[in-house]
Amino acid sequence: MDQKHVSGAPTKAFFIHTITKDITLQDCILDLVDNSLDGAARELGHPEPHLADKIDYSRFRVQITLARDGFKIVDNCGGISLDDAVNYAFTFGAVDNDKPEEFSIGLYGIGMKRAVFKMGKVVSITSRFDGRGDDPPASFRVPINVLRWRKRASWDFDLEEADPLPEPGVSLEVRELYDSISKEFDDPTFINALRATIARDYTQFLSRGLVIEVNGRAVRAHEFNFLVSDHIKPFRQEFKLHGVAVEIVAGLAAKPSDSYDPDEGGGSEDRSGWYVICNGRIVLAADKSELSGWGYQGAARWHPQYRGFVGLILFTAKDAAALPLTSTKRSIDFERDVYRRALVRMMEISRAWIDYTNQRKADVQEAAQLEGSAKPVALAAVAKSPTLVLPKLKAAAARPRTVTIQYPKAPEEVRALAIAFGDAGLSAREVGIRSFDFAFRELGADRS
Amino acid sequence: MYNFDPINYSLRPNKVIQRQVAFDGLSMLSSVLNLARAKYVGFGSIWFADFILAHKRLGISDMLSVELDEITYKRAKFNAPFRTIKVVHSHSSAALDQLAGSAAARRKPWVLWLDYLSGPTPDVKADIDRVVDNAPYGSVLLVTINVTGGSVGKGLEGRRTRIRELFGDVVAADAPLIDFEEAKLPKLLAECIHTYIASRCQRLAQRPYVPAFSMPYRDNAQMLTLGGVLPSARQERGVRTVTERPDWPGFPSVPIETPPLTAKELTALQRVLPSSNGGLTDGDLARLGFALEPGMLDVYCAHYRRYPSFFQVVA
Repeated sequence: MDQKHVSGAPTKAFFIHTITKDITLQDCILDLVDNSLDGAARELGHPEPHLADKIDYSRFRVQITLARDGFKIVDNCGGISLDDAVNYAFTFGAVDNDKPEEFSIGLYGIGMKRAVFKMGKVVSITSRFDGRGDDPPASFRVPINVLRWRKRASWDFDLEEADPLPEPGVSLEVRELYDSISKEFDDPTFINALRATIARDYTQFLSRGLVIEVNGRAVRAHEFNFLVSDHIKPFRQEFKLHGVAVEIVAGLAAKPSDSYDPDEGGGSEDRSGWYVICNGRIVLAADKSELSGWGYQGAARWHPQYRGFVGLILFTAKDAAALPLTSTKRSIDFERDVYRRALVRMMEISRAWIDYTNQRKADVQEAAQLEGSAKPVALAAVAKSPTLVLPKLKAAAARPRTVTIQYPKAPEEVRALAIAFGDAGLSAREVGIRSFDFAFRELGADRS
Repeated sequence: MYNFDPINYSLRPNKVIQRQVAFDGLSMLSSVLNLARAKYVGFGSIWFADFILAHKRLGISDMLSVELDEITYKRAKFNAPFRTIKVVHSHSSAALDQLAGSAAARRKPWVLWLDYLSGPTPDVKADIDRVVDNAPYGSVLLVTINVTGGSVGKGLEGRRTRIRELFGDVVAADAPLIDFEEAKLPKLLAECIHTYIASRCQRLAQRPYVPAFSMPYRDNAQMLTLGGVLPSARQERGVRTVTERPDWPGFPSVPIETPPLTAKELTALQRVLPSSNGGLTDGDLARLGFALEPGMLDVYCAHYRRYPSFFQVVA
């Protein structure tokens, strides 16, 4: 029998479905922002990011417009050279001879296509590139009609000459949005959530002058501050692991909560936990899971008692492939050696914090007094310290054995009891303690 | 201490007016939603003012009043003005869960007026969630909350944090703090809660939501009644046609804050209304022989047909 071949080629429909299925709409938009930032870094000569760097992004701007009838992202971050457009930018996945860009987090060559395929049916990508090195200036447009493209045998896209954009950069527009996408872009909660994520995940860039606008309004960088005093000093160290530069800053971002009730003071605004940053971009935020060591290998699971703790760990590498991040760039590749080694340090720091919050339960007043003088210091200004310094509590040394009593009660009943104790402002915790003391005294348990 | 308003609702002009406005709106909606067959659910306390209107103006018979306090529950049972009002001794959350689980209750739309004394709290939000997730198509939800500064949160930043804790990204994390001044809270909270409900409807319940009421009023404290319709996809267009009519009463342009008027003032004002140009001026008032605080005359003129008259009755 003659040798025959069977087709192993993927269908476009399957391909589009697969690449768009496991990523959220918000993450797709962030992929496009990443592309803009990689362009800005290219313009600046690929500087190495770290906490104390002085990289100036103030001449770069990314404008995102979301509406019921369309999506647009426009940047002035240098644009795409014709060579990059023809050979790399529109391929599905990084090509074999592609040299990765230094200190970027783009790795898989899929973000832009995935984003536009997820959103709608009619796409237009326009670029102006003013020339760099051997690459000549170019202005072009790549129009994609997704339904027509799906019917064609070829996987290529057409590229045509275009009138130059006002500045070197890229303008990407998606129209004829899918219904579910259209509804999201019409929902203020989606827009506000996107703003909050951008503020947090790109804080390293925003605080160095980059402007990102969402529907005409600039996003303000989320600020990380740490409390510092004679008794409190955040941990801060730099070291290398497997050729990856690692920086850790961890400590009190806010005074610990005196209430351990999950319903009090937590909620959506709880920013405690670990943040993992890869080449400047936050890929895991306010994490309280095993991924950052809580509950891993016998360590304590996260508990509201630990609120107030914030740890940042920065991984920086020339080659993004060395970074411990997943393909969606929204989580950690937990199996990577570099991350496992760093996790040991993270868990040591978490342990110190856990011990302190246990000790402070013995005398909250003394702890609050020692914590009270601490002042917030901006992340970049935190001094190096090989340990996390926390108040030394006298009560902890001579701590009598205690047990903790916890029970749920209706808030209105707790408040009524607080009023009955003569102080409506008492916390639930304080009401609980006074109730016990009252019963203990009134029932004569102190005399038994 | 009472756990209901100790003053009869019918004696509080702004409360009376906003209730009338709400029922004016519900009557208009009834043309597309046939609310006479609905189940009315509210916190009737011992006065049942809204239940009386639900029965007399909308023709609703099947009514449920939820009462948490035991003594008030007994008094409410005694005071229920119609045979078909069922009073249950329960927390609102349990009553709403029971409604959601009742096949009989789910066979007809609900008109719910959750009239809280508190500001926005986790309990209020949870009740809204229960209704949005479970109310049959064609239901109408009204929620009344206290929107004074202190009832929302401590200070400007505290209010922003509180609203975000309760309703998520309905306001941006970096929203300007000046937006959280006390005077702006009725409008802001109405927008936030409408946005929250619309978003929850779209993401979870996968159903339409049509905002229909946003009525700030003053009743000792700064209060807000807001709400909307949870129609089927087929009913949505008809509901929007009603709520987008120019005479739709659910979005008054100014808060319902009429002046307390004596019987003599009321009679004098009514004698020159309705006026040919739609309102009265301070000059008209001067000719009548008295004056009112700035802005009060316009609010009174907008609602004079709903302004209650009271006389003391010796029983």
